[in-house]
Amino acid sequence: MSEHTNNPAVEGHLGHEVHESHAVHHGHDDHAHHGHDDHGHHHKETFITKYIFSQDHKMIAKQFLITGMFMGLVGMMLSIFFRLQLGWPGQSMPILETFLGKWAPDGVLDPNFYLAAVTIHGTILVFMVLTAGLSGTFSNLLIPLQLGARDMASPFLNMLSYWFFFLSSLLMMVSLFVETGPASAGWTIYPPLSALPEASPGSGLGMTLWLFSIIAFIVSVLMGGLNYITTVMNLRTKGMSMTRMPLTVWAFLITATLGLLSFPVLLGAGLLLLFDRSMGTSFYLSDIYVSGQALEQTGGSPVLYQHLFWFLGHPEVYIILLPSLGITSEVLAVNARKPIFGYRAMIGSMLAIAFLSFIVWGHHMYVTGMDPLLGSVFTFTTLLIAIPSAIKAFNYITTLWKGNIVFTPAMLFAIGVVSLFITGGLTGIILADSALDVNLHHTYFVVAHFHIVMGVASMFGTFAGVYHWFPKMFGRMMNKKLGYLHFWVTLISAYGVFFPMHYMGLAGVPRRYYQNFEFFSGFSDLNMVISIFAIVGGLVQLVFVFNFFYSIFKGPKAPQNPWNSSTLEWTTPVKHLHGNWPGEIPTVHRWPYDYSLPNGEERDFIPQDEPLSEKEKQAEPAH
Amino acid sequence: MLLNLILLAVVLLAIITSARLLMVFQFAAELRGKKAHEISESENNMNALLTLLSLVGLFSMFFYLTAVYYNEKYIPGAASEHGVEVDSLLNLNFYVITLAFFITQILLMWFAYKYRYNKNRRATHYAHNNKLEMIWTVIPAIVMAVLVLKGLIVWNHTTNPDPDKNTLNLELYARQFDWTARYSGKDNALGKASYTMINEGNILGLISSDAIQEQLSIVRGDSLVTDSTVTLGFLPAEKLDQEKTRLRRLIHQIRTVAEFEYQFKSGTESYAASHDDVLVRDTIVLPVNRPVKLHMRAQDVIHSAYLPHFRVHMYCVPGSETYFAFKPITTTKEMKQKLNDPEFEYRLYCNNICGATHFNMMLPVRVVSEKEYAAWLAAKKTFDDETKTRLAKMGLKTNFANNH
Ligand code: HEM
Ligand SMILES: [Cu+2]
Ligand SMILES: [Cu+2]
Repeated sequence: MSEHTNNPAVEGHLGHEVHESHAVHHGHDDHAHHGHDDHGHHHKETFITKYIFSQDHKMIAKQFLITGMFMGLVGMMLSIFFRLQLGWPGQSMPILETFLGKWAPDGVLDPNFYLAAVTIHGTILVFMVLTAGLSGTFSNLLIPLQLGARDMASPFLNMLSYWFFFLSSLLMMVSLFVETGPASAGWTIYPPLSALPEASPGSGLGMTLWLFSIIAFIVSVLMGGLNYITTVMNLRTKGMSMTRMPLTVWAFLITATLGLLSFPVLLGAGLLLLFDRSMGTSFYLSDIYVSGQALEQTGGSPVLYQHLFWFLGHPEVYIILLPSLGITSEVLAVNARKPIFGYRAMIGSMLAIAFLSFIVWGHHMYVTGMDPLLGSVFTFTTLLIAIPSAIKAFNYITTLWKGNIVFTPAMLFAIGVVSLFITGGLTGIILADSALDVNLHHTYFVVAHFHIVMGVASMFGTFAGVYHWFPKMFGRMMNKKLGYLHFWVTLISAYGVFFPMHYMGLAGVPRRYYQNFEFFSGFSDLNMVISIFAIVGGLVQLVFVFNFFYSIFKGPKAPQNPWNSSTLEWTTPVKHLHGNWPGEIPTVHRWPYDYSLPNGEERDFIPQDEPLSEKEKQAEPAH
Repeated sequence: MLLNLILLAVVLLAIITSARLLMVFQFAAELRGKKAHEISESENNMNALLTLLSLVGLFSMFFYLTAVYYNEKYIPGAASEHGVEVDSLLNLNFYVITLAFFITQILLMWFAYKYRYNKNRRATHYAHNNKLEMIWTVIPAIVMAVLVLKGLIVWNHTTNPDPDKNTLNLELYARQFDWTARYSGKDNALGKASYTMINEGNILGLISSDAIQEQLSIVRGDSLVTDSTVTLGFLPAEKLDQEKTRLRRLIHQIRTVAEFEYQFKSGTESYAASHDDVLVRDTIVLPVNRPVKLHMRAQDVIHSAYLPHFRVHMYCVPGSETYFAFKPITTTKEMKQKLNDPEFEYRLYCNNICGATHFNMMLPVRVVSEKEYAAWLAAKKTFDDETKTRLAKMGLKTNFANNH
């Protein structure tokens, strides 16, 4: 071993000499005469059409990413504000007053603003960051590039999708500055609390803005989703059959389908809530006495809202997770230099998860007074989801087995996704059990579960994607040392924040409590430790942000195929073109995971667009 | 202000310095002829090792936290009959998931470490194995089947306890931001209630002949005042709208209450079950070993009655009633001894976000012997007593409707 210590062995492996011959193979000179099917990159572009109202999927991807990052930073700030209160309850923190003014008189967070912070944090992270920021970025970037398409099916709709997302984010930001404060009924905004301005200041103008923001968001998701699905269905290049698509694209396809089927239900739920708020209807209201008056509304049901909300809400958690799992599949395979294990099983389990995710929503509602029989049914369907989830986890692990693993920052984050997916998925098994959920519902146990399995895991997936495809997005490389620092500190602080929360939840500490130490004094130390991890974890994200923006401008130039990956996006020129390929679109001859074939060749991957060799043709007569 | 400026300056300085440093490093690397994205073997090994070490970190955290927090002190054993079953189910689930947690995390991190890059080795092209995949489909399926079955049995016991004539009917009533418990009194029946009957004295909106009379007098008075403010028309437009809404609501309210009056006078309803109900707003007292059926209602928004020690939890939803039945089996005194904590109290929490001081919506619960319970309850005033006192203060006669 020692003789290799000065020998940068990995370099030879990662060098792009091998690829260069391949790149030349597709260089445009080669295909210049195939001008017939190129389009779009001739007309003049102004600053506005190129950077702002761009219809190029790659630019739109970057717009989604950067907007998502900005919203992510806002969401993270909010979480640090409320973690300060939870870690050191009632202690005066001048920094809070600096940032929040009247919401933190004398440096102590106001209880109403605490709830608002929790609410907006959840909303931003779930919708703006992990739905739009994640799906929006990578579906846009990768679907056309990995399928061999010039752009999305409808670039115009695609542009609108971004601008509705932008509007949505803008409205959410504006709501932070209204006099009565932003929405503060939790990210699930259950009525009647969210319907009655009398019941909470956050249910005034702040809630109206929240609802309009989410409506704009839904419009964005639907336009984006339609586009992604149409593109995958229709614009695959020659030879790119469905079973030759990289798992990333499968994940984006299934995610978009989930969104298309579930977000309209949230739109309905939100509209009915708007009616109840301003037109005197009673969809969700009945028999309410508030601020000294008995309302006229009768006959509505607050629980109806929860059914509608979670009919979206549960698929939504998979809308958040699946793209991350797709990215993980790709990054693990590339960096383990192995095919993903059980490609078809991976697709099958994603489809199973997607289907099941529509019939489990009731597991969020075991204690709403629903019929116990219905509770049993939801327990059954929910525990079924554990099976495809387990398959995925085992397949990831087997993908590493006998690999030749290169620890890029993206790879580390992808391994992190698997670890977190397992840790958080396992506690789902407990919550799925209605008999056990009774005592854990709305406790920190649930907070731990979903942050680990959804929040942090998907965040890790996003990071993996950014580190991996940064060269494709910006033509430069990110700094890997900062990447390592970012990964390790984030991993430690993520587990440090959320793992202890299981124990608080088991002891019955309710979530969304402004302070809980009076009744649960035993946990005040733990709360402090959690808050410290949260702050450290928050700060280290600044390293990422710095690395990101620094590398856009000053990072070293990216080679053609920095990770020696076999998928099509690496056959496009480093410098972006409208239309992606200067010449003809490549034809696909094989699946995306031909890594380390035992074919006696020195290179350990074969690009998807390389025709089968004679030997391969003989081995696989079926093709 | 100065502090903020300094802070800002420090942050800017830090950014500029890091940017400079990065440029230097990059330049140096290029001089040594390295590609910036390439990962040296030592770097790769280092990260592989850290991955393995993170396993140690993860498990140490698990063992430490479990040793310190997963015990009687923090999570006292269930104090209710079904809770004991729930706890053993929870334990079974924990054994299963802890085992899975260890196996999978070890495999994951160990493989990551073991198969770190080595230029003399080639990865094994291993794309699938149907038998293997079948195994890890079938095993989780079997485990899940067992867990579902066990879970459903416990769920069934929890939600369908054996009927018991002796069951105590108790209402938990939630509003922003406090709880009221209503004992059903000698008849063990909770009297009817309506949100239109709510006033300052009658928080739960219970219906009785006296309460109807009281409410009619209050609401009619209010509507007269509101009506005249509206008709006089001195109010600014916005206020006027508010008052009009208020008037509409009051009229709706008067109609409903008048209907109760009619029901009562015509003899259709006696509204007598509420008379002996007892309202408690400081501590809930429960007799040990007697089943309790909780009836839950809410006044304004959704609240949730959470009694973690009894493994009891149910939303309180405006407009409908929800239920949860359980049997306390450990008295507060026994629990104090068991935990060696003289301060110990069972508690009822609100566990559904309900507004500003949601976190403070709590009531102590005391479980005592049947005898202590009876004595405690006997000393309490009934709803009827309370209403009569208020009526007298208002100068109204009681029992106005003895005429049928
Ligand atoms: C083995 C698979 C899983 C099972 C059986 C499961 C089960 C559950 C159950 C029963 C709850 C409701 C707990 C309660 O509120 O009392 C829950 C909450 C939640 N789960 Fe999962 N889960 C699983 C995986 C996931 C995944 C993969 C995600 C996201 C990617 C996720 C995200 C969430 C979220 C966001 C909540 C809480 C929402 C809230 O109350 O604010 N879960 N899970
Ligand atoms: Cu769910
Ligand atoms: Cu409450």
